[in-house]
Amino acid sequence: MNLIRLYAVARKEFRQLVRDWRTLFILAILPAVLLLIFGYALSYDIKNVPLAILDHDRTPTSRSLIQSMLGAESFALAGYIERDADIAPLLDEGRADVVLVIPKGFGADVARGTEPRVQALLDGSNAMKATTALSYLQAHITEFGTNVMLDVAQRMGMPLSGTPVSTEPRIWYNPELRSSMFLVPGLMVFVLMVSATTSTALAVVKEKERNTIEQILVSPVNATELILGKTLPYLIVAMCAAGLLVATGWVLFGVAVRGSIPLLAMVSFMFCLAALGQGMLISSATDSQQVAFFASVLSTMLPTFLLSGFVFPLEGTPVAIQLISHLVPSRYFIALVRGVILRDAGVLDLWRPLILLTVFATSILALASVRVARTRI
Amino acid sequence: MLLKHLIMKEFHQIGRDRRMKSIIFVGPLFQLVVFGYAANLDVVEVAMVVCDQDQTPESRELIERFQGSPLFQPISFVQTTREINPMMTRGDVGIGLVIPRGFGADIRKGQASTVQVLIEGTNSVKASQGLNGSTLITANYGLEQLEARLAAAGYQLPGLPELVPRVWYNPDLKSRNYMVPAIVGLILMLMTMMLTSMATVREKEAGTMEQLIVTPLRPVDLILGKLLPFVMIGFVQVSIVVAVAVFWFKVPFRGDLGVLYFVALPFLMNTLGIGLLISTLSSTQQQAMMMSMFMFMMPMIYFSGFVFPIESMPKWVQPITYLIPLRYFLSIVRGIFLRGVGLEVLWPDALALASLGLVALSLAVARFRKTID
Repeated sequence: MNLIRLYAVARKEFRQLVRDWRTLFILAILPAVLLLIFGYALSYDIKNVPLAILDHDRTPTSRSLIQSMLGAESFALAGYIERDADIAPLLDEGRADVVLVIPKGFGADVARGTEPRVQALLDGSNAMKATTALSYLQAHITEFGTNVMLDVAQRMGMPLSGTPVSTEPRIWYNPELRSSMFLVPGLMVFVLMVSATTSTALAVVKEKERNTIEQILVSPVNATELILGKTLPYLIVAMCAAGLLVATGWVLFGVAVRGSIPLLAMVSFMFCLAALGQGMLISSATDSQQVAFFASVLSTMLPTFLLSGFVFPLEGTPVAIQLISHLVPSRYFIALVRGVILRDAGVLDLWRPLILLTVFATSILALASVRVARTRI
Repeated sequence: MLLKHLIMKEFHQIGRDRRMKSIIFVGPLFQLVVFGYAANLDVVEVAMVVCDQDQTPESRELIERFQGSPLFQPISFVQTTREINPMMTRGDVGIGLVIPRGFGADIRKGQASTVQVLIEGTNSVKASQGLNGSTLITANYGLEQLEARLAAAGYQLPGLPELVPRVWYNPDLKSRNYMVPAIVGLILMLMTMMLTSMATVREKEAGTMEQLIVTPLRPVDLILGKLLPFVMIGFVQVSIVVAVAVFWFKVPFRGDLGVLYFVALPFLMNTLGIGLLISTLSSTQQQAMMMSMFMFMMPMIYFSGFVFPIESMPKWVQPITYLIPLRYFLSIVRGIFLRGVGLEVLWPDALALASLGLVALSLAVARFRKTID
């Protein structure tokens, strides 16, 4: 492999890239802008779930139950209804996610010692929201029950102070349980993957469409030099984008890099190579920009979103899915990035995803070269 | 009619590219299948480690409560708290329970006691589930102890309310039933928006646009000729996705299929309008692609309520989501699939879609006309 020829290819590609400043902007700066927007707006924290109440009892006791439901940030009052018949339209129309039905005689039952049954009807469409809402309901009912008991105890003169058994939670790595800690590294990977792969996906196809590919194929440049040379300028741009992403995460979201920055740089370098390589492979295997674009979008957006552990955990998915996820470079990068940034993990902890990512990067670039070498005019 | 020929021409161009054909028909299928299996936010178990420094019947009872919960599996035991640290860093456990010495004594004396819960916080979803779950278990345990003490002292116990939950529309609480219908909207949007923006720019790049302009075709025919083929393709894709969702993934479909097709039209007005608009704003295919992806598709996917709930977004961001067509379409699709409602309930969303679609199309057509002239 001749480095001079490689450099020549790289220089030409670089010139072409710089001339198109709009694309340059999109590739280098836009990822960080997107991280800013998404990181700020998106979260998993389920709060203010719309709760409607049907109180058949209307006693101080039932009102006290309602109070404890609405007290914290779990639920937001969506309204009171008067009749059982009003429940179905409320849920069908989506005006409330939960309806709490307090039976007649609730207060009397509590005082008498018979356990009243409080019905909760939940809109289960969004399973995660419903599960969380259910856990909030259970927590508040237990809280209500505890308060009732403590009241009784106090009236009888028993020496009791507050909740009998409480938990003192200590949350590691993310004391305030901000979902941004979890989301921001994932968003970084997502944005970088999509932009890097798309950038190179068009690189070779453009030449094919414009028929300048003939000139390249008859030159002494061989396939490997062509692929690596074309990748080089995009690699520089992608690394800049990555740096900007980490800086944005740190400064604006407080996701400080707890681990080693050189390790982070090396890991990002390997990932950029993998993502760009994937784009190169697509580029060498397709004949039109349209198809190349579609292929790059389909192979990056959804797989990164679904199979990398970004949003959905990989545990609990069918084995076939877990196997396919090994073909997604974002999967390794997310594990590496979360490890280095959030847990200050070192090379020894992360050797497995790192090795696999390196293998992926080199194989895919090799595959792309082979494909280009086989291109017939 | 001339329009018919334009449409045929577009189909021929698409058909010529074998890879494009497979992307149009296999692409949605592939995405749907992967999504259906991988999009799973259902509660996953958390591995727990317990350090019982008390070793009394009371502490063992508390531990039994945790063992009885399906959320905390598997449960392992250690002798000292120092052993917990490395287990967390390696990711072997997600939660640690430390019961301090004197726990049982406090309970017997009726004094408040505290247990420590250590949580691995990088995955905030798992962490909050673990936190909520453990807090609930200990709170219930404390409540039981309180009850026992009061009963032993001979006091009359109050009747504590029992929660009877009933889950509507999705009783097994499967995330899949929420995610898969949304894919209908996602695929429709991705495909039609991208196809339209690229098809038009391609003509511009190739120079064949001018040839079309000098023909006796009216601008209206030109535009319709570009858009109608993709409307048809869109409908075919919707049918494929719905069929697979219902027959393969067994997602319930309780509403009216006709309503779904009917509402797809205003949605397509939006995606095609935006696609056309993008094509008028870019001179190369590359620009069209980048623009459609970064400025439209990605923000729309994230802000439409697809995965991240709109109610969890900051208050000032929420009104902006009203401008996103996908938001309305997702709400409509989920309503049709899971709640079985029709236009009598969904009409506000449908109306919003239609209005947005009209705006998008008019803007696009106006600009397109300008580029022709």
